[in-house]
Order: sequence, then C-alpha cells, then structure tokens
Amino acid sequence: MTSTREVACLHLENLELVMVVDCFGDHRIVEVNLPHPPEIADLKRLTDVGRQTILSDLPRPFFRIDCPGRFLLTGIIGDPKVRFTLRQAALTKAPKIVSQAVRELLNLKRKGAKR
Amino acid sequence: MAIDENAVVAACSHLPLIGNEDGLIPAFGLYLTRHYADFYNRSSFEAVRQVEQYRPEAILQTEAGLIEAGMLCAFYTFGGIMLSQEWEAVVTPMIESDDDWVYGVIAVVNSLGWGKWRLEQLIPGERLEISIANSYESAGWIGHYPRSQRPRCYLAQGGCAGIMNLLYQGDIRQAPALNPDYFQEIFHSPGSFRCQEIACRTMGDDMCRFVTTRTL
Amino acid sequence: MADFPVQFNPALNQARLAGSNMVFHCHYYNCAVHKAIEETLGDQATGLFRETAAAAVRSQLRHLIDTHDAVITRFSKGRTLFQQLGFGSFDAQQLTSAGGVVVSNSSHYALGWLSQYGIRETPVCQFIEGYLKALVEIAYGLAPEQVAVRETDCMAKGDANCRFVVEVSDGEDTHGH
Repeated sequence: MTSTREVACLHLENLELVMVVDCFGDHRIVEVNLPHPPEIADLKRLTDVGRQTILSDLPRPFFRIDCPGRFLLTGIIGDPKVRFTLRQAALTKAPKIVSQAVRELLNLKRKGAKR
Repeated sequence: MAIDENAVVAACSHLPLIGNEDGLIPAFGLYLTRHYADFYNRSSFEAVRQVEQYRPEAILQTEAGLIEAGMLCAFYTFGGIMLSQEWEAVVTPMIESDDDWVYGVIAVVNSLGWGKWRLEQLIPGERLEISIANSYESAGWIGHYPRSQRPRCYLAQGGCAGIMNLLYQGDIRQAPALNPDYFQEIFHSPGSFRCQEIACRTMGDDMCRFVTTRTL
Repeated sequence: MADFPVQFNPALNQARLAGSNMVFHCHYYNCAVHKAIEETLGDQATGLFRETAAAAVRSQLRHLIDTHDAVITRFSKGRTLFQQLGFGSFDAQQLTSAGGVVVSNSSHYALGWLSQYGIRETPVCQFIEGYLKALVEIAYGLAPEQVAVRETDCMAKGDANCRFVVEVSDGEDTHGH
C-alpha cells in the first residue's frame, strides 16, 4: 500500500488486525493475517455481498469482494494476508465489522457462542 | 521477456474499478479517479499557452511543474501498482528477470486509458525509450490547437522518468515505503533519471517518443 | 456492472464513456497538477479549472441524460456518474431550479489535497464546481451563463464538509461570472 503506515495492531478473538493509514490519511484499511489461506469456497460464505470479482484464471487467483456499506475485501486465493478497505460509514466499527467478516469467511464460531 | 501484456491488460480491465457509495475507487493501494482527459488537457494547455504568450521566460518552469506532477503520479501510482496485491496476483508470477518489472508496469499502464505505450529499448540502469502512438495528451492538443513548436506530453515524460527512478535509482523490488522523503531521494538527487520527449505528434511527428537517461 | 459502462479498447489503450476519453489518475497526480497550475496562473486558475471541468462534463452528460428524464432522474444519473468515476459523493437535496446548496462529505480533491499538502486557505474543489454547474444546466435545461457554482466551505480548508452554493439567474444577470 502506498504511503501507508501501521498505526495499531489489535488482537481480537485470536485474529491480528493491523490498522494502517491509507493514502488519504484515514484509517480505512485493515490488514488481517488469516489463520489459514482462503479458498474460493470460503468467499461464498460472506453475506451481503454486492459485486464480487474472482480472477480465477490467474496463477495466483485474485479476488475483490465489495460489500456495500461495509468494505472492499481483496486478496489472493492461497495467501492468508487479506485487506479490508472500509467505507466511511463503517470506520467507527472497523474491528467489529472485520472480525465478523473473517468469522463468516472462515466459518468460525464466535468465542462463547452457544453451540 | 516473460510478461504477457495482453494477459495483464485483460486481467486489469476485468477489475470493476468503479466508485463505491463514498464515491471512491480503491485499487492498487490508491484511490483512483476515472477522469476526463479533456479536463486535464485543456487545463494544462491553457495554462502553458498563457505563459507562452505573456511570460515566455517562465515556460520551462511551468512545464517543469507539470512534469513534476507526472513524476509524482509515477512514484505513487506506478509504485503503488508494483507493491499491490493486484500486481502480486497478475504480474509477479510472470516475472523472470529484473527487467520484467519494466515490461510489467508498462503492461499495467496500458490498461489505464493513456494510449498505447510501447517499450522500444531498455538498457537496465541506463536508458529507457518508449513510444506512444496515441498519447491522450497529444490527442488533446491536436484536437484544439495549432501545430506545436515544442513537445506537450508532460504526464508521459514524468511517467517514463518515474519507471526508471523506481527501479534503478531506488529499488521498488525491496518494497520501500512510498513517502515524500523517498520521492526526493530517488527523483531529485544526483543521477536521478529525467525524460526528454524527442518527438511529439503535436509537432507533426507520427508518434511521441521518450528517452529517459540519468542526469549528470 | 457499472451504471455507465466505460468502453475499453485494449488495442489503443483507450477508454471512452459517452464520447469522452477517460483516464485513470490518482489523487497525487490530480492534486499535483492542480498545484502546478495554481502556481502558474494564481487566482485565474480557479476559473480555468471550473470552466474546463464544466465543458468536459457538459459534453458527456448531454449524451447520458435523456431530455425525457424527470429532473430527479437527471440528478440521480449525474450523482451516480460522479460516484462511479471516483470523484466522491454529494447531496443535492437542498437544490431547486432556483438554486440552493450542495454538500459533499467525500470529495476526492479535498481529501487528496489534505493528505498531500495539508490545510489550505482557499477551496480546492473547482472540478466539482464545474461538474455541478454542468449538471444543474442539463438537469434544469439552463444555459451555461445562467448557472454559477461556488464552493464556500471545503474540507481542504479544515471545514467539516464541502459546501457548494448554486446560483441560478434568469440569463440576463450573469453576476459577472
């Protein structure tokens, strides 16, 4: 990311969320190292998805998933590092929104949730 | 040369680079606009023409400001592209040698709507020659003004210099932080690359040609 | 799918939308060109940006906005296009055929300028002034000399949002604009 810098690192439910300043000087970007690399099937679990692009023909398939009102999620299939670019309206709830999306993505249960 | 330009352009053009509800286009680690070529052409050319008419002694300074904008564009946009997830997915698997970074970034430039850039010669670390058959800047001049006595593709001049500075004055392959200090270091220090537009369609040439070499 | 699809010709690396060539640029370039031209022309630069923006946008909107569209649809299209192209977003609910106010809390130019150069003393969103001028002309079927748009508040000045005052005249009084 151009001219971004890490400003905070949150540990939330065993996830490391790295908040970085984007090139507008805002905290719109959250980078996450997932516990395991996402597969195409994982992407289908995300809810409230708007536009979804998966360049699956590439040797390293790139995905770009837009969730209106919340974020743009980008990453590479097989690479655990993904990036959330948040919408303005979602900035104040960034950790919650990102951790919820990661749980959806990886089909993780919330800690303490009833089975 | 391992870069498949058609594949790169196809991949980039499949990305839905469309503003979200905030009206922002996040891509390549940047916020992009899909801007009006006419807006930039007319704004830049009218400013330059006013200087030519009323303050001809300031023309080089004015052009330098526009070329500097092109260099900033190259630094952040090309640099951002080469550090992006998109680059990692689309271009990195094709890279076999350091020179492929140059071919790769030109392939991505050829999806930005700037006219068709063609790499004519690369002497790594020394010289880059690029031609553009249909630069949008020259097209904008030709559409509105008489034949020019001087080249007019300011963005492209900054862009060509930027490619060489990012790769051979600095080293984008090492993923440096793209910040103002690094810009100064690689664009405004002894040996930094500068570009000369040696032919321009606005002057009646068949295409625009750019030669980038180190400053002494 | 975009509301207004851009036609990309890979053989020419040319992108066209409703008769206009479109080029990708980031805010670093957009703001640096703005700065270079301001440094060259001084106060005259604002008028140049505004007029060149209005001319470029007017030409395109004439192709995209149907004269049979209701006024609200015309504004909706103009707003959607503005967002699609990455210039930010705006709220024109306080605008009528007699003029009014448009507010933006997401302006590519203002956010870009702030992050690149910091607070400035004067508004920076002349491109948006020109865009809104062209949109108001076409939405209400007005001549260019009847519409004037001025940015009074700008996030690049440190204001909470960008605020544009739209003046509509009967065509005889052009307010010297």
